[in-house]
Amino acid sequence: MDRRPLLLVALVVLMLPSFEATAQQSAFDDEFNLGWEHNFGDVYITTAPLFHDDAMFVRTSASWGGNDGPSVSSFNLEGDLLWSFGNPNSTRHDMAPLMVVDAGNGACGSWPNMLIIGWSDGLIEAREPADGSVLWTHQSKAITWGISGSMEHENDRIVVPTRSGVVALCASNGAVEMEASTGLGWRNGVSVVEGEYLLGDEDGVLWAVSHSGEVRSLDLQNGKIRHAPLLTPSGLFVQSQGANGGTVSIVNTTTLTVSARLPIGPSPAIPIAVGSTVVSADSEAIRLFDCAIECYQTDRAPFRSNGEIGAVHHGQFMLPYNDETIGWGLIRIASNGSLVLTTVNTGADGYGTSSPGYYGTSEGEYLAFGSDDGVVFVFTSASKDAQPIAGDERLEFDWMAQGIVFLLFLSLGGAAIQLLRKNHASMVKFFSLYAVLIGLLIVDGVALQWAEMVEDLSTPPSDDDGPWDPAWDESWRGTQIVSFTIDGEVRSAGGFEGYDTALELTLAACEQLGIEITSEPTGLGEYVVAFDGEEGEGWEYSVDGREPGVSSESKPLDASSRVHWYPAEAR
Amino acid sequence: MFQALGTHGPELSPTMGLVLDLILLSTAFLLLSAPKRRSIHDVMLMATLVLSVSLLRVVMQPLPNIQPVTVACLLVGAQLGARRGAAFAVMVAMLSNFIMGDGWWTIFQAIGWASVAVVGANATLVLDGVYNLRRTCIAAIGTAFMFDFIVSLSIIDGTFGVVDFMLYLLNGIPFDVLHAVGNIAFAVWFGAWFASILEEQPTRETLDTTVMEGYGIDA
Repeated sequence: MDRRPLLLVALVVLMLPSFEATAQQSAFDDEFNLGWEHNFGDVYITTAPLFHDDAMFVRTSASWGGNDGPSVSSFNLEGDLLWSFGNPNSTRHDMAPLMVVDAGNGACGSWPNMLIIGWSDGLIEAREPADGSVLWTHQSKAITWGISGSMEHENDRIVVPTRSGVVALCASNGAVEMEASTGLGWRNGVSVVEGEYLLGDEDGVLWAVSHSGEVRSLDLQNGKIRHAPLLTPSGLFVQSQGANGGTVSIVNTTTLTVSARLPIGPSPAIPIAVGSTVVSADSEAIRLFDCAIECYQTDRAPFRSNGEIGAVHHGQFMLPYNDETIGWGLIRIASNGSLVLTTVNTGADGYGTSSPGYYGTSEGEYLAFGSDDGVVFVFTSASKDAQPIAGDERLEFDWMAQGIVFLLFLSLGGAAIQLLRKNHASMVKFFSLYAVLIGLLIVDGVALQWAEMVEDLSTPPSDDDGPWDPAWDESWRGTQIVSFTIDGEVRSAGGFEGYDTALELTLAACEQLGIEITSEPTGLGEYVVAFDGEEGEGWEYSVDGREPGVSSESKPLDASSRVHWYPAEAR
Repeated sequence: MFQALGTHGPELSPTMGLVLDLILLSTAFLLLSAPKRRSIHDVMLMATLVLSVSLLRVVMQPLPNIQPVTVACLLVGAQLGARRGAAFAVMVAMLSNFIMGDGWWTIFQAIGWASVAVVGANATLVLDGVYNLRRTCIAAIGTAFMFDFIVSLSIIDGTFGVVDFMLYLLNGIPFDVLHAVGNIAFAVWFGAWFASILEEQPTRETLDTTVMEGYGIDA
């Protein structure tokens, strides 16, 4: 039997990675130019900039040790700052998405256009979008922090997920119309579904609160719920962040029972639904779910994103890659329902969690990207702003990438030709070259995934965060804590929230404790060289008492992770 | 002697580094010294091989765990024998590490590649002057894992338990596989050529003996 056709098909299949590599070119650069940017200083931008009526609102958050505080600012589309204000009582981790409410009236009165802001000290403000003046306020209870999740507008009510429950305020004057207690939350966005307010908490409980404040609950028992539940035709889509990965639960909202569970990766991002399609992401992949009848995963693409996902131009979605090099993922859902992923560099690249803000007008389109360095980059569509900008990246030719793609085609093409000529020895030669090239391209990513898998296998499932140091402040319980053993002395900082990787948390702790950190980039991630100039024989770290097999910048954390840095010789 | 215990075994003091180099050189000398006198051609061939393969290793350093030395050791062992193969391995490890960084691990690399050469000498990779690609590829895969295992032993110190070591080995498997794939590529592209240049040319004395034996003449 002539097996050459079969082998040829196999070779063609193996060429697919090469095609995918060449398909990474994005049309983004053809459509958008950088219009302007604004630097907010020593802060983060951890939620999407919001456009409304030819204005853009940007909120910033800050670390405890930072010099600049969180703020909310307004700009016109040309980049002129219109107004800006902060909150002196903020606990600095301000990442609740901003919300604009159009003017209207209802049973509790009438209201103008409003910008609703939830602060980390529990303060809820309604402000006039044009000048930032305060219309009304409401103070909710803060426990270490206050409001961190997305809000909703329902008829004449502003529905806000507080730290320990949910409150419905009259849109006209901020008076409390309903208030209910649930579990403690973090980024616990609320959804309004069939007359109920739905939200999750850090204990993995889903809460359903009626208009009048009656509370039902369902313990999903899969980990923390850190997004607003999404209503789909097949039921409520709820993600849980567990110690060993994530889970999607499909919940019947009438009976409040789980109809299906689907495994996803660790540290899931905030999903977004369009009709019956849900786009989600985690530390492993971007995932597409079809929830028309029964919810199931239809496609996935390797990626790492743990924050917001935004709807942008042409019905596409964008989300930040949680690393310093990749930039932003631009997702298109093809006509056959598959997920098409390209990547884009915007300047706001690296460790971000906010999605881009999008605004389309008859004169052009705007995309605003907030960075973890506190800079917002506003891109405008090329049709509006056609003049080329300096350093147009389209003219740059990546010799290395093109060379590798050329070698991939050459080696695989050579293998195919030699196969057809029945010269098997030469076919093996070319194919071995192809295998080496593919191996070199993927080995870093594979090694990281492998190390995480080995770590998971070697660690029994447990929610134990390691021993509690009596010297730590009791208020640090349930938060992220970092310890450093430098010259035999242990220094700790705690009470941190929302840091996604060990390196991010370490940098924040160093800032708070005044420890100077020195690091250098390596092929496998950022390598910490010294703390306070102490290099020793190198530095190692543990998370919750276990030594991860990956760089600290690749090690995801949960809300109560404890990171410990110590000299290698102390091991 | 040792300055400290680091993450990759003991850190060597300058004196210990010198002692280590002397041990490696002496080992190579002992392996090369034999009752049979080597021709200048043999010596030059070995020197050229050591220099060129060391240079190749340095040049290919940026590629993670692509190790041309492994296949070279296999074939040197196969063609020149276990002793000269092991000597070649020791000298390449020492010379290339002068540039890439010397330390405790040099001993394990030298032992690892010397073991590869011994495998090569006993695996019948070249029979009657014919290079056996299939056997070489199998040996190249096996020795990739063997070498990586031996070098991994350098991490063991008093604080590193068996479980830690097993996890360390498990974490390295993707790179071990890449080492094996790289070895196959070297074996199929350059193996036959490299084996041919290593093929021992009969000396004039050997030729004379063969001729005399052929004609039944007593020497």
